[in-house]
Amino acid sequence: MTYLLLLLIIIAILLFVNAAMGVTLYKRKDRDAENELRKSELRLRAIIGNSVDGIILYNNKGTIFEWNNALEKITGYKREEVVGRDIFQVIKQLLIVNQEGGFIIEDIESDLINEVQKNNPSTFEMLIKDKYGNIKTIALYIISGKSDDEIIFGNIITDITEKKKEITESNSYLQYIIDSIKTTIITVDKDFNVTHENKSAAKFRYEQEETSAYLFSKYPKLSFIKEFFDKCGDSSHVFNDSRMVINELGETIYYAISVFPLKDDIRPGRVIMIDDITERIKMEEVMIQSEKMMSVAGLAAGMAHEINNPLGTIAQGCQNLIRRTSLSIPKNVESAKNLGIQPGSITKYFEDREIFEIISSIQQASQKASEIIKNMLQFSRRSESKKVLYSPEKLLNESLDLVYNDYDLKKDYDIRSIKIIKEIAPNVPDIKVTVTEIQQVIFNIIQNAVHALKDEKFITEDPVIILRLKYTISEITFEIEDNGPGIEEKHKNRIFEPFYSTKEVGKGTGLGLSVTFMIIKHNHNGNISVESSPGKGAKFIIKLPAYGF
Amino acid sequence: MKKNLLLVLDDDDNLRYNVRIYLEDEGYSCIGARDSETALKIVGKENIVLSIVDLRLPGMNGEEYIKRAVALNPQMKFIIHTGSTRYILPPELSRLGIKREDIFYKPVENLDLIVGRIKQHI
Repeated sequence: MTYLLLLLIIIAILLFVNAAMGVTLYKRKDRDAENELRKSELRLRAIIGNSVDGIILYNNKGTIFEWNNALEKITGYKREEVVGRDIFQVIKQLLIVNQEGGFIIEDIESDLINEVQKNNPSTFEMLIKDKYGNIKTIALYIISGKSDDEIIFGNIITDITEKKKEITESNSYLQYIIDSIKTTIITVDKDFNVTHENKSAAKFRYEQEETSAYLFSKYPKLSFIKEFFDKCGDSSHVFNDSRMVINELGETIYYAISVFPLKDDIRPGRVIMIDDITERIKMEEVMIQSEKMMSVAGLAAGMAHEINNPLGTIAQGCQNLIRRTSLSIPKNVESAKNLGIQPGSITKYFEDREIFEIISSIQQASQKASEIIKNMLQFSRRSESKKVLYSPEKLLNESLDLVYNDYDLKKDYDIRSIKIIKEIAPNVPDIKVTVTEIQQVIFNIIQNAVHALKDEKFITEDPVIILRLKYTISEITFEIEDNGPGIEEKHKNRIFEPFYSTKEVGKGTGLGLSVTFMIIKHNHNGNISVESSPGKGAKFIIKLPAYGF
Repeated sequence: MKKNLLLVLDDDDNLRYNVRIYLEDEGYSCIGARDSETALKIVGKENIVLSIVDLRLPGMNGEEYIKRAVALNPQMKFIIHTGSTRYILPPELSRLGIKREDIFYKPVENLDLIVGRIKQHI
C-alpha cells in the first residue's frame, strides 16, 4: 500500500513536473515569438528610419502613425509634430497650390487613392513649401497594404528638387538652342494647337497677344501655310515646299516650309519649320543673271569682230564718197574735165540734192552701231587696264565733274537744277581700282538718276541726288540715291541685263547698267545692287573690297 | 621719184577697196591682198614700204605675215588694222618696232588718222 501510495506520489510528481515543464516550454515559445516580432519591427523601423525617401503611413481614417527621418529632412517637420494628425491637413499645409491648375488637394488625394485602389499607382509631382519656407519639388508615390482587418496607406515621398532643377536647366538650355536658331520652329498637336515655339515664331504674329492656342489664331501671318495641311493629309508625312509672300511693307519674301510628324506617343502632332530664304533666292537670281550676262558677253565679243568689218566699210565708204567730190584731189578735177563736167558743179549738185546730208546720216548710224559694239565688248572684257590705289572721294568728285561737263546732260536735262548732296565719311581709305572704269560706273548711275528726275512723265519736285561714301574695315560703299519715280519691281530684277531698257527707243542702248555690273562684279570683285520702290526714288549701292585688309 | 608702194592686207573686199582708194586719193600707190600668202608673194617681188594688216585672216594670220614679211624686207613698216578691239600688241611684234600708235581698231571713222601715221613712217 505504501508502495502504491509512493508510486502514486511519484506519478503525481512526474505528472506535475511534466506539466510544469510543459508550461515552461509553452512560455518560452511565446517569448520567442514576441522576440521575433520585436526584431522584425526593429528591422522595419530601421528600414523606414534610414530610408532616403520620405515615408508616411496612415490608417484608413487618414491618421498618420508613421513619419520617418527622411521626411523630417524634406519637410522640416518632426515626427512628434505630425503623428496623430490628419494626412490631408498635413499635405494641404505643405502643398503650394498650383496657380494654373487650380486643383484642390482633396481631389488629388482622392485621385491618388483611386489610383491605388485600381492597383495602378503612379507618381505625382508637386511643389511644397517646407517648415522654413523653402520651395521644393517632390515626387509622391502611394502604397497600401492590409494589416489584420485594417487597410494601411502610405506615401513615399522623394525630394526631386535638384533633379528637377537639372531638367529645367536642360530644358531651358534646349529652349535657348531652339531660340538661337533663325528658322521658325513651331510644334502643334493633332488639332493644330501650338505646343511649343521658338523666338523666331514671333514674326508671324501681331503685337497683341492672342490667347487661343490654335495655330492660325496665334500666328495669323502663317495663314499662307494653311493650304499645306489640306494637302499634306495625315500627319505621318514629311512635307517640303516654298512660298512667296508679300509682307506689309510690300517686300517679297520667300519661305521654305517643312512639316514633320512629331513622334511622341503621348502628344503626337507636327513640327513646322519655316526658313526665310529670300537672301538665298536673291543670290541665286544674281548668279543666274551673272551667268546670263557672261554668255551674252561671249557672244558679243565674237559678233563685234564680225560687225566691225562691215562698219569699217560703211564709215570709210562715206568718207571716200565725200572726198571723191572734192576739188582738192587732182584726179577728181581731171576726171570731171574728161567727162565735160564743170569741176565744181558736182559738189553743187550734191549740196542741192542734200546728198551730203544723206551720207552724213549713214556716217552717224555707223558711228552709233560702232558705239554699241564698243559697249558690248566692254562688259565682256576682263579689265586689262592697271588698277591703282585711288581715293574714293576723288573718284566720286571726278565722276560728278564728268556729269556737269556732259553736253547732253547740260543741254537736255538742266543738271544745275538738281540739288546734289554729298555725304562723305571722313578719312575713307584708298581703294585699288581702274579709275576710268569706276568713274564710268558712277557717271552712268548719276546720269540715269538725272534722266529719272527729269522724266517728263513723272515730274519730281525739288529733285535731289545724294552721293554717299562710307566704309568698314572690309569694304567701301558708294551710294547714289535720287528722289525720282523709282523702279518698278518687275524692272528691278532685270535692269542689269544687257539690252534691257525702259527708256524710249533710241534713248538708251540698255547696256549702261550691264557694263556697270560687269565692271563692279567681274573687274573689281565688288557688288552692285539697287533698292527702290515706285514713287520712292532709287538707291544704287556699290560695294568694293577695301584694300590691304 | 618712184612712188611709195603700200600694201593693204584684208580679207574683207569692201573694206580693203575703200582703204585702198582712200590711200590712192592721198597720192600713194596701193596693192591689195586678201590673204597673207598672196601678200607675201607680192612682198617678194615688189618694194613695199608699208603694210596695213588685218589680223584675223583665212590661212596665215596677220601676225605671222608681219614676221615673215620682215624677214623678206627688214625695212618694211606696219600698221595694224583690226576688228578685235581687245587686241594688245604682243612682245614679239613690239620687238619688230611696232608701237601702240600703229594699231587701229575698226571701224576707223576717219582714215586721215591712218594717213597721218603713214606719213610719220615714210
